[in-house]
Amino acid sequence: MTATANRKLVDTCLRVFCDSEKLAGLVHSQTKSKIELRACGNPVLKLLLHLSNAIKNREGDFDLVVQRLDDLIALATEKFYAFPFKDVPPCWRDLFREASLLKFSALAVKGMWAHRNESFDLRTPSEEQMDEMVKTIDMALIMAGPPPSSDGQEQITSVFDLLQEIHEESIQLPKHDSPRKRRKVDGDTGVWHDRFPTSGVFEPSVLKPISKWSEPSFDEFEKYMLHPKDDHIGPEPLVIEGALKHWPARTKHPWKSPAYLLSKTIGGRRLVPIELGRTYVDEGWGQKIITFKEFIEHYILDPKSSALATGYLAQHDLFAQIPSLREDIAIPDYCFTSPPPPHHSSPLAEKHSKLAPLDEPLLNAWFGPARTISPLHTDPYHNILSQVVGRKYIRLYAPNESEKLYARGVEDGGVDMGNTSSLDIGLLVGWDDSEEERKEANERFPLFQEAEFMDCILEEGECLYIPVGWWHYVRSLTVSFSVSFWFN
Amino acid sequence: MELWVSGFNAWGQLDFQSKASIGSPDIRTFKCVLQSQHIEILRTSLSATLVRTSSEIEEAGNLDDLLQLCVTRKDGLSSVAIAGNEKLAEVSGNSIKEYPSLTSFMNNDGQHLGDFEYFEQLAANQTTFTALSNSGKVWTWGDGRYESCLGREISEECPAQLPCIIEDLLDLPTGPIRKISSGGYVTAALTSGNDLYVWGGRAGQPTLLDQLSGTPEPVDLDGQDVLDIAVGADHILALTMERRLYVVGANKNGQLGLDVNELSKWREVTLPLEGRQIVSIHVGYKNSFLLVKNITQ
Repeated sequence: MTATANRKLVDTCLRVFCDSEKLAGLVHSQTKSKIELRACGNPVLKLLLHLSNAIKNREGDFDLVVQRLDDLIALATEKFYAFPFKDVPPCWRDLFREASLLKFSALAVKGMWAHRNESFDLRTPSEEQMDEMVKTIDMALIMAGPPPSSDGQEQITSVFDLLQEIHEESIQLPKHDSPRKRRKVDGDTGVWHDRFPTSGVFEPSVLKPISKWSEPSFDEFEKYMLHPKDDHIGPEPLVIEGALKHWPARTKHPWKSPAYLLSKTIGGRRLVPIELGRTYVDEGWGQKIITFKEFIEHYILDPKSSALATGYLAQHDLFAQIPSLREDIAIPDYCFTSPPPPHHSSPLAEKHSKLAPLDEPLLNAWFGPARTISPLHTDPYHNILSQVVGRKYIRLYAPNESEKLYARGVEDGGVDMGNTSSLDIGLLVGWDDSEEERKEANERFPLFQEAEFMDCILEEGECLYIPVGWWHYVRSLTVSFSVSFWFN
Repeated sequence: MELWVSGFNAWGQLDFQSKASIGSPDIRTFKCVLQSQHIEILRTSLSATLVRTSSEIEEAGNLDDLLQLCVTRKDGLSSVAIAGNEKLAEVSGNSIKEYPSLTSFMNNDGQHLGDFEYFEQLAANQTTFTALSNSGKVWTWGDGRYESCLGREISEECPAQLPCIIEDLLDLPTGPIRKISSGGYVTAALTSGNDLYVWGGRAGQPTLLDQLSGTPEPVDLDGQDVLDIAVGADHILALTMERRLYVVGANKNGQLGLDVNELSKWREVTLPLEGRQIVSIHVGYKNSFLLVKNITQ
């Protein structure tokens, strides 16, 4: 029952997030405390304590309580800018998080404000309340990071689970089915299709196809990596077929269904970081934080209707943020093989060799419309790139081609771009831009034409093994959702 | 004299009349909260205000460590400024010292940045310090990430973190600088001929003012001479020679004393001051203070 989830949520807020005892202890302790928040100073602690008590007792002016929490969040945000990123005193991140959790709590008990007795009016939070609650807590996670303690992290996880539960209950009740929630329908037929658009974008022809192997065994794959055809090149990329067929994401929990993805993100309310612009090396490239629903509606389902830039949910650890989506996929066994060290022909081999062995593969989600481009770059780990939804064109260059690929260096502002090539493959090959621009680019980078490559169109359900140090250029041909698994 | 206030009041730092408590609402239009033969604003902070009246030092709000020190020493410590990044600077005579924090200042554990000219004023904003000498020259130093706030170029001879003169403020048409004020990511200077100059801004943040840049630019307030200037965390006050008050910037906490969301252009605030006039203006963290006197006095 929603009432149960709601009661649990309110209970967590009042007993855990409104920790007046802890705050009172900090206010009155004269000695140095191990708790970082102490460093925000007594005035800030006293105000937090006052607000925590106000929420616990649901007394005073509700709007003023929320405004003061916003004031404290603004103060913490100002500190994030005042210090260089690495020097921000931890107390200000903690203040951002504490004030956000108090604001979340205030919103959660809004319906029973000024009712101090325990007979809670347990109305389900309104749509707007839910919007604001999810935004508040997600923003805290993004700006301030997760709570340092594992207890704290578990509480946040359980709060999201409860919000998800409240949301799922609410969409089953017809009275909550407000028009606001109904998704856009097809303009011609008036019917809502629960699928991504199939657009026709330019499709490069595959010239040097990468070899394919249907479900190699663990041992076969390990042998493939350890005994390359050509020792001067090292292990080569491989398209693996059939490895994803048991994933729930490809079967009973279909990621190709926008409705499913929205349902898993508390009705699309979770916030995600989006890259804007064609590629991350373009001028005017930027990032912003929006709701998952805004991302799906404006950037995925209807990218043409607006003058918006291409939006790409790229290299985001979505599965740490939304654990229930993690359950829809499985780490391919191939990631637990012992791969060879970075090949000596890679100029980055020494750097990549210094990386500590990973305890577990690193997962990242890559979700975007057709036409997203990841410019030519290398990664510091072996990669099993798994194509869950849609298709992508991928072109790869071996590490020993590096000197023909014009790697960038340390650039203005001290950012090391040594893993990124200066080459715009689409321009140099003539897929994008004009013939004149293509010629000009090839004159600037004369060695490019001599560089040997391999390519493929990675189809839905396939995986691509990318050996560490291999340069790759990735271009989505449809709406695409991939998961990368980095291992070493 | 009278003290008029408007703006952020979370700790009751504007409540001189009533014994204030934490959790006070903001004050959204200017009102008089204190009367005395003499009023002087000693110092403001995030959470408190310290004033000296003819009889005593009065405080409102919740004292932080620096204001506590001011109360102990019965002094506003105007030779000390603390930036948003917690660094603290101190001028004494010709010398400038910098401390990583208030704690290191208390332990006298700072760094001597050099000897220049005899300093009369010192101001800080989030990341920059600004010092004014008795010959009307202005020195700035601070975080090089926000070059605009320095009002000068960063070079090998003039690195960001060491005090260097803003050459653009030398030889101005209306004479040397006589007053500086700084807050947020903005600094302002007044010439002895009462012209106002501003500089600063932070990339990625909507600018407080249209003309804000990395070089000092003159501000025109209907052609009037400017008597006083006060720059807050996200708003600015200016008082003209005709004793008219102008405001610009954010108003989330009522710091402009007007019924607006925010102002990107200067607007005049008129107050019911029959027979009295504003003599000086001050700011705290997102709030505003006006000292008012009878005209005949």
